[in-house]
Amino acid sequence: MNNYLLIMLALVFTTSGQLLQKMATMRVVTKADSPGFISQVLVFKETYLAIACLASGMLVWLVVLYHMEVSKATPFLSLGFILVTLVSRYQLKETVTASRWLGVILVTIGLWMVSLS
Amino acid sequence: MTSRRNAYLCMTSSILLSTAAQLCMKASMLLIAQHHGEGLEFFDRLFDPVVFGWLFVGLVSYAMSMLFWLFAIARLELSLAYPMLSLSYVLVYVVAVNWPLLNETVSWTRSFGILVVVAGVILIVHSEHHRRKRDEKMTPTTVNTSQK
Repeated sequence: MNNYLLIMLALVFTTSGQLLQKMATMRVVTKADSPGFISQVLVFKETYLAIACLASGMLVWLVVLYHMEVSKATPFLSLGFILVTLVSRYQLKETVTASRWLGVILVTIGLWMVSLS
Repeated sequence: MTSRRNAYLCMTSSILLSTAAQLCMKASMLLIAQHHGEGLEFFDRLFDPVVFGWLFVGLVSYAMSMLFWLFAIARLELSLAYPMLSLSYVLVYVVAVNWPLLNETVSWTRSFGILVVVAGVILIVHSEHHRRKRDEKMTPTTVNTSQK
């Protein structure tokens, strides 16, 4: 398979993993500081789907690294920050202000530069 | 606003632990590479007490950082918390170029990129801080309930 398709697949898995983790914590009714929090999170299917997504993302990423040079592949990982912001906005209905968007874009550009050299 | 402060504390712990995890795992792999040529197999070298010690601390830190991350996003919006994770890349870079064992090279492009990342995170956290302050002014009742 095309390497860039694989990179996109890894990004989709990782982003879905983050989204599902957040959705799992949103279903918990007790406070995050209370001791029952973890046992409650473990009840929801979102948690297990999240783990599956993050593991698949890691696996696909390893395949990418097998086929590609690290320095060529890693810059694309920074796009994950944009994807997570997009799902936060459109799936979780969070308010993403203009300055938050600008911040995310700066983070993405910055990480791109770090992984290029 | 104790719950929110707790969330930021969890966030900070998660960032520090994932930084420690990356560095410890890298250190253990480097030590394995240094043993190369002594005729030992990979797994013999892996179970060398020092190598395995670094790896173990790395893996435990990794697991703990994921736990703290879960606590953090239970309180904070994903679009606020996720970009903050990039600070871990910043810390890894700063340690990797200063720690003699890793001895990674400094480059201008990288250092500039690191500054851009920090600027992005500062912008996000700063604007969030102002937005909350403004909202609290407009609806004084939320200030009262949050002080409980």
